[in-house]
Amino acid sequence: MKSYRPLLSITLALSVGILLASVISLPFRILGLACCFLFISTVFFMRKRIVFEGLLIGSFILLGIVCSRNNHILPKDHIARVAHFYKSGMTVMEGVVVSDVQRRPFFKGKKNIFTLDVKRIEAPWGWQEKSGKILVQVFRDTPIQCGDYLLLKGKLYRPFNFSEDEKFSYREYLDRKGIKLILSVGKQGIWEIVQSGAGQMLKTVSYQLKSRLAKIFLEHLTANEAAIMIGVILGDRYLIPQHINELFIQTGTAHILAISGFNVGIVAFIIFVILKIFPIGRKGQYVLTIVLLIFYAFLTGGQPSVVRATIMAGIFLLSFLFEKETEAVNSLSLAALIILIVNPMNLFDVGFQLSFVSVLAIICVHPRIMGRLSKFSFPQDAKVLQFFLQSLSVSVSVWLWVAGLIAYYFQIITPVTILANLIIVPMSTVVIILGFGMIFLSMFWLPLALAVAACIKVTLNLMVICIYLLSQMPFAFFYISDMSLWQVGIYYILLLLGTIIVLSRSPVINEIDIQKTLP
Amino acid sequence: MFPLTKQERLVLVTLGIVLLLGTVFHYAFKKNPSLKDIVNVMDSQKIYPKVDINQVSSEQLIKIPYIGPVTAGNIISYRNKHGTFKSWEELKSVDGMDEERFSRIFPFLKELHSEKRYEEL
Repeated sequence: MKSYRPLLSITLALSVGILLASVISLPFRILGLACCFLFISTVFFMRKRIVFEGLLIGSFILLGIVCSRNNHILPKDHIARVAHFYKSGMTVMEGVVVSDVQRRPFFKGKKNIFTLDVKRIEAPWGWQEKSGKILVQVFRDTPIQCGDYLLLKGKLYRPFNFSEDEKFSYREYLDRKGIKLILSVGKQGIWEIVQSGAGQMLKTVSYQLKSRLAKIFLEHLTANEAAIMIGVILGDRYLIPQHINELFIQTGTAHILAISGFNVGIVAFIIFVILKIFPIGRKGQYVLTIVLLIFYAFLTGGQPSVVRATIMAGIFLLSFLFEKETEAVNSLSLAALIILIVNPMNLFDVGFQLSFVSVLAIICVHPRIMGRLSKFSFPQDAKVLQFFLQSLSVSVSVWLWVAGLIAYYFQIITPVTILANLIIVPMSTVVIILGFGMIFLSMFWLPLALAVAACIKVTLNLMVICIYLLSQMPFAFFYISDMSLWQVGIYYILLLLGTIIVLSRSPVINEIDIQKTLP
Repeated sequence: MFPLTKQERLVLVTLGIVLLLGTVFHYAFKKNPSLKDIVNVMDSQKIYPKVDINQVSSEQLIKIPYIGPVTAGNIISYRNKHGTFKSWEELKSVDGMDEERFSRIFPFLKELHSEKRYEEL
C-alpha cells in the first residue's frame, strides 16, 4: 500500500521558500498579502485536488519567504539599530540572562558566556528602553545564572569572522540564533546581579537542574570523562577538549556526542518504568512521558536534533493514545516543519541538516538495503548475523547520505566510519545508559552512583581507545580541499540516481522492524 | 508486586550486574591507583592526534590547541621560506612561538625525522 505523506511536500515547499528568501526582493507587505491570498484561495478549491495542492504548495513557499524575511526584520527599539553609537568607549546596559551560562577555561581562570535579553541601555540623556539578544562574555568566573537580571558595563561590538571560510561565518552563526552583537566585560567592565529569577520559570528551572546534574559527573569522573558525559547526556559539548573532538570527527563518530533519538528513547523508557510505580493509567503514562520529554528537550538546550527526536517520540506516543498508525516520513516532516516555522534559519544549521538527512536515510534507504539482503538465505535463528547486517545497513545508508555534507562543511572524508560505527555505537549505547543510570541512582544513594561511575570510566576510556586506534588505521580519513556547493549537488544527484537504480526494485522490509533501528 | 514485563525484568537484572561490576572496579581503583592511571587514557597524551609539522597544512594546524590562524600562517611561511624543520629549536624561532606555547603543542606533534635519526646514531 502506498504511504500517504502530505507533510513532506509542505515541508519541502517551506524549505524552498526559505532558500528563495535571499533571492526574491519584493516588499514584505506584498509577499505577506500574496501568502494570505493563496491560503484563502485554497479554501475555495478544496474539491479540485490538483488546484488545491498547487495553491497549498505555493502558499507554503510564500510562507517560507515571509517567515525568513520576518526573521531578519529588527524591531524599532532593537539594540543593533543604535550599536554604532557605542563603538568607542564602554556601554552600560541591563538585561535578563536567557540561556545557560557556559563556564569555559580561559588562560588561568574562567570566562562566562551567556545570551542576554537586553532591557535598557544607558545613553548620555538617560536610560533608553531597548530589546534584542546579545552574546555576553565576562572574563571572570561569576555566580551568574539563567534568569538573573544584570547590570553590565563592557565593550559592545559586532561579531568578527575568524576565517574567510563562508561556511563557518561566526557572525552568520550568531545571526541565525538572533544575536547581532557581543558585549565583552573585561577587567575594566562591571557586572552586577540586580535581581534573580527574572527570566522564564521553565528555562531557569531546567538550566539549574542541568547544572546540578553536570556537577554529579564533574565530582565523580575526571574532567575529560565528565565533559563527554555532560555532552552526550545534557547536550553541552563545549567542555570536550578539541583533540578528543577531533578523534570523533576523524572516525565519523561525532554524531555520538550529539543528543539524538536514542537518548530520548532511553529517557522515555526510564520515565515509563518509574511511572509504573504510580497508579496512573496507560494514557496518563503516555501524556506524562510526552510532557517530561519536552522538559528534557528544554534541559538540553533545544538543539535541532533533540527537538526532532522529541517531536517524533511525541507523535509515536500520541499514536498509541489515539490508536492511529504513524508514518515515519510524515513524522519527520512535521518535526522539520515545526523547527523551521519557529526559526527558518535552522535550515542552514549544520546540525539540522545532518540530523534530518541521516534519519531520512535510515527511514528510506536502509529498509531497501535490507530488502536486497533478504534475497539471500540466512539461517533463521542467526540473530547475531541479523543484528550485524542491520547495523551494517544503517551505517552504510547514513554514511553515504551524510558524506557529502561532511565533506562540504568539514573538508574530511572518513571511510573508516562504517567500521567505526559498528564498534563504537554499541559501546556508546552502554555509556549513555550508564550515564542516565548514574544520574538516577545519585538521587537515592551515592555509593550506587559511584559503582556506576567506575563502570562508566572503564567503558568510556575503552571506547576512546578504540576510536583512537580506528583513527590510526591506514586510509581511515583524509582531508580534502574546499568543496563547492555545485560539487555537493552533483554528488547528491548521482547518489539519488544510484539509489533509485540499485534499490528501487528492492522490497521494503516490515516497518515494525525498522522502528527498532530509528535513532 | 508491580507487574513487570520481560524487558523490565531484564533491565533490573542488568542493573544488578552493573552495580556489582562497578563496585569491583571502584574497589580495584582504590586499592591500586596505578590501575586507575592505566585505565584513564583520556587524560593522557597517548591519544593526542599527532601531525607531522613538515607536512601539515594550515587548516590542520589550526585544529591544534593554542595555535591560531596567525601562528599557523607563520609556521607555513617559515617552512616555505627555509624548508622543512630540522629541529624543534627552528620551530621555537617562528613568530608567535615561545617556550610555553611550544611545550603545550609538543604533545600534538610527531617526532622530526632528523631528530629520530640522531637518537638512533
